[in-house]
Amino acid sequence: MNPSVAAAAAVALAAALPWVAGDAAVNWGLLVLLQVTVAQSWNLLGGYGGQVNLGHAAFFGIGALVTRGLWVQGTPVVGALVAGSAAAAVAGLVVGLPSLRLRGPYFAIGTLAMAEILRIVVGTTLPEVSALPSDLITGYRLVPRYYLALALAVLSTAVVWRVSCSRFGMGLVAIREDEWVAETVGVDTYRHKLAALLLSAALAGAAGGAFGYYHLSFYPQFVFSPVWTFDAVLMVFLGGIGTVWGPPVGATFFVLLREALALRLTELHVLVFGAVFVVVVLTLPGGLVDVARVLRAMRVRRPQPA
Amino acid sequence: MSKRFGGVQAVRELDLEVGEGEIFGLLGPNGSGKTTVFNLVAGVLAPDAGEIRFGGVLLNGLPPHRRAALGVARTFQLVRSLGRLSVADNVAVARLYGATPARSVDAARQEASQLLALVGLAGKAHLPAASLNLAERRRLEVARALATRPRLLLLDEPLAGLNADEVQAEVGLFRRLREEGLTLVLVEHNVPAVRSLCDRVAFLHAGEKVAEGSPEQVLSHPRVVEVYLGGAAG
Repeated sequence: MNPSVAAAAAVALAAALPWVAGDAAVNWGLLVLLQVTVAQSWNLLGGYGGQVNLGHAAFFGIGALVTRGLWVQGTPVVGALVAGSAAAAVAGLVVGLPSLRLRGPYFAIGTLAMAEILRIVVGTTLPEVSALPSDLITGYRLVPRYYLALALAVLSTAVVWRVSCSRFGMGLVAIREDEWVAETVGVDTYRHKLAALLLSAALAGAAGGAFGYYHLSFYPQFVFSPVWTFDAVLMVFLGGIGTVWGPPVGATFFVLLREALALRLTELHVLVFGAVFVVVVLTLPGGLVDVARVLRAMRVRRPQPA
Repeated sequence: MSKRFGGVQAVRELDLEVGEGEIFGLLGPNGSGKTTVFNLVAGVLAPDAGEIRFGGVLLNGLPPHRRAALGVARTFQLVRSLGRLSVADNVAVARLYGATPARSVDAARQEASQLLALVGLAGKAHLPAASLNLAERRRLEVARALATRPRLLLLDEPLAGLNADEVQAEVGLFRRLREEGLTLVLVEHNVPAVRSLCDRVAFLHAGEKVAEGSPEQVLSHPRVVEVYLGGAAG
């Protein structure tokens, strides 16, 4: 099937979900859509630009806390979300300006350090659980939050698609393949990496903002947990790194399988999950979006019966 | 210009001038500083002393991508390609940047296919660059460098590892490029090719210029003969 037809069908299906399914399914759908944005934002910088961000959780967490704080104080949610997204982008600038000048592991180390420092600082300065005030709980509706998550998933995928067929995207991919060659043919590698990081951080911050708007109560430290980073990495690799459709496929597979396994196997699901991840990466280096191509290749190779 | 790496003086007070439209050869034994000169001109390394000028513009302190925008392009001695990209996209991305970028990705891809035809890679455009053999990758490097629309093309051992027919094809291509107004500087060990191709050559030894002039003059210079052959004889 044509990818754009498949995408339109998937969006239509997702948009129809609240009309045909109950709250539990809508809740699962929301988690999937939220993770599409988280994975897609990591993919933009990591999959296209080749820059390994090990502190993606920091952008998610900043977006979540800023958005939730402003919204609880009375800012309209869209304004609060934009502010949360912008705050995450500023954090991206702070970590990227020094570390992206250097080639090698400095960016990975810098982002990891930033996220862990933020997690610890938030954990000590905001130790109390963040619960919504009673007036906001009274007016709480799940469906608008679901549509917000859907809008962000579509937006982040559209951004990655747009980048993937642009000059900027070609420059990013050249950096991923060989930074010296990219620089030699005229790509301003520093600016390209920085721009991709800002976009990536803003999208992750928006996803965090949607989480802060959605969740009834959580410890502020939780949104800075490294789990947000490593889930993103897993989903991107499972679905197909450096592709437009890999992260949505990976996020759907990852969240639904994890929830289904967690219901039946509780803690044991982590083991099963690790095995699934290893099998997918070994047999499908291009991720799940590569399945169709690999199957076609196998059918061609299989000898015809005499 | 000069460049020192730790205790090694890679290039010592070297003074070179290449005229527009010239084919200039840099000769010298391994380790004599030829590639270092390229890296200094392309902006990969910064000189410890001296000036690098390109058409009157001082290049010192400009990063490589700014020099590419001014019209300096290079190939690498150890070929480097954007391995998972198609051969066509290796060239298209260079067409989107460099001195006079294409207006759109589509236009860049179209012009890339013309450049691939020029270097004889049209039939491989859709393969990943990693699947090419050495001779093909060298030609891809030339196409990629040309895609930046340079005025100066630095070729680092463009003939190394090629067979006689391939060398002939490359030499013909370089002559055609010069006729189109390009200036070429090449580092090359293939003496017959240098003799037939270059207008002028300079011979480097231990980072210093030993001789400069026509290929005939330089290759018969006593110090050059001594360095190239004398080491074995003495």
